[in-house]
Amino acid sequence: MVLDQIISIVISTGNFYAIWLILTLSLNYEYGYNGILNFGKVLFFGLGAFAAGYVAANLANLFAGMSVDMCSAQAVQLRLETAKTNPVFAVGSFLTALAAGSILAGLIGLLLTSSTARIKEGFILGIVLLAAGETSRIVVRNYEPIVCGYHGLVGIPNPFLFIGDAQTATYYLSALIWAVAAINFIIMFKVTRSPYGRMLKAMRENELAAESFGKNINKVRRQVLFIGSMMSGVAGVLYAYYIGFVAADDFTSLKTFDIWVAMLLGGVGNHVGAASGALLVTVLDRATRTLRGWLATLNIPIEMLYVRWVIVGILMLIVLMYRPGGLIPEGPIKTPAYRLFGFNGVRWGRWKRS
Amino acid sequence: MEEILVVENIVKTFSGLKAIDNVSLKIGKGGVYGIIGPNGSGKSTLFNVISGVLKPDSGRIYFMGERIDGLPPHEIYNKGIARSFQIPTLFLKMPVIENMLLPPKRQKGEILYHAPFQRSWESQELNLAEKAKNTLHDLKLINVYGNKASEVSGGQMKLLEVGRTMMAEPKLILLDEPTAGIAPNLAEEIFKIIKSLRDKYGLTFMIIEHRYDILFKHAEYIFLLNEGKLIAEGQPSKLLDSTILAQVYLGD
Repeated sequence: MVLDQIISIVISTGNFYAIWLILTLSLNYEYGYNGILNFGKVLFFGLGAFAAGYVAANLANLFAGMSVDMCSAQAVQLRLETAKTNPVFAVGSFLTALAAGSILAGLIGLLLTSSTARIKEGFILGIVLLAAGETSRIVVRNYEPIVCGYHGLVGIPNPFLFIGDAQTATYYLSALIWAVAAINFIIMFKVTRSPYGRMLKAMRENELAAESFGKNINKVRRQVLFIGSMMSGVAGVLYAYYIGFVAADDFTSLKTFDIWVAMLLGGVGNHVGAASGALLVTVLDRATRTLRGWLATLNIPIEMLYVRWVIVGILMLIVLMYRPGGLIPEGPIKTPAYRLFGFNGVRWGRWKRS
Repeated sequence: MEEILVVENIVKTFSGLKAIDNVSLKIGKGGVYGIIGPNGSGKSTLFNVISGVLKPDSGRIYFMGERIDGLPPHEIYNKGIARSFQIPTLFLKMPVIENMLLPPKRQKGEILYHAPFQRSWESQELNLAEKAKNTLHDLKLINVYGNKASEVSGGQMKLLEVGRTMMAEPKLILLDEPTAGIAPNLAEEIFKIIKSLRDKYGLTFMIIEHRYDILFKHAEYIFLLNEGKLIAEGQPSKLLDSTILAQVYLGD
């Protein structure tokens, strides 16, 4: 009984971590490496989740040859039943959602960067993204045909429901989520430990100089935001399928800043750092939520959700005072070029202090 | 001599002030050209216009017969004009060696879909690193190769500025005060390196410099700017003989 509970806590924490990891990695790619002030992470995360809900609901009707109101209890039943009996729908809707969510998020990211590309000040793009995030949330919240507006869409079916009971399906889905996160990590790590990563950092450090040395800043920036947004979209789809529910109000701008906190605590411009920051934030989030439940049953009047913000604030202060680059700050981009100089020549001690 | 750069009637105004006023000049291939003039005479603005950082109000610029005025900096760079900046614009949080490895053109590893596959760009990277190592050696920067650019001295920053342009394999190099703040013997060394590169690769240099003692010794042709106008040009010895230099710098 207790073991079951521990397993389920570990699995849920692991899943939330995996999703959070993808988001933090993508922000680190955008801001940590390229210096893009993306204050609209939640927009792309949300777009993925909304796309997942929309696709699942509409494909269920299509497969069943019916047209029930997707927000009704009957539709929820229909989705879950169809997923149990029809593997093509279960897996197909998931894959369609994955494609739709990531491409939609990527394209919106591309559109927003292109529209602000002519303005060199990075914070303008940041504000545009922040506003776009809130706008999309409010639109989805008030326009029912997307994901049932205010109430949200219930019953996004686990794509592995046809294999066995809900428990087994969750295990399979968890394995999938972790695999996707791991692939994201490996790709990001490899992509940025290269001349490409060096170019991204150079653009971050000095736009004028990077452009004077032949780097096409606008093109690279669009590319970065396209891929970063796609990753966030994927995270959104996984999130929606994992919790089986999507509602607009889950995607407030506070989430954006949670992702920022994860990156800033962990290490800006260092994917291992970002991964550890994401772990810290996820564990803190899960722990306070679990504690909150226990405290409620014991009638202790402490609101852990706010305690969490206090802890985050204190952590931020401590890290910024003593390790301004994050827990694992950025180092040199160790391409094979360093082999000519001997790796030992790089003074790592110096990197930690600044 | 074959002309590599032709500047025709360039005008650039900043809030009504003519920073460059109808300047025309011709740069021959393989020469070392000096540009001098008092502060505010438009030397750096001229470089900014040629390299595309600023767009001229009017006039035309031809590089190897091709019109380049108004193109974005990265396209002008790709055609073969590299520049250094008067105030070092280094990538401060990156090591010296990474600053050196950024400029080379057509790096396969800078393309997104090649980047994760180290094997596809490793050999190119090693060649560039070899070249960077040699250049750092020439510029006496080899000891600080692993330091962040923000952790080297002001003089070393200037040297790194010069070193970066050399990594670019350009045809024309614009150097904005390459020896400001650099010890005399090393300044002399820089000019020797510049000349050896010219001889080896047939590069062309345009150099803004206030240190006439060194510049006049090494440059083959001098342009004198004052208040945005080109007021004299010629070989260093001829310019030194005329009174115009003293007039501009010391007043009548």
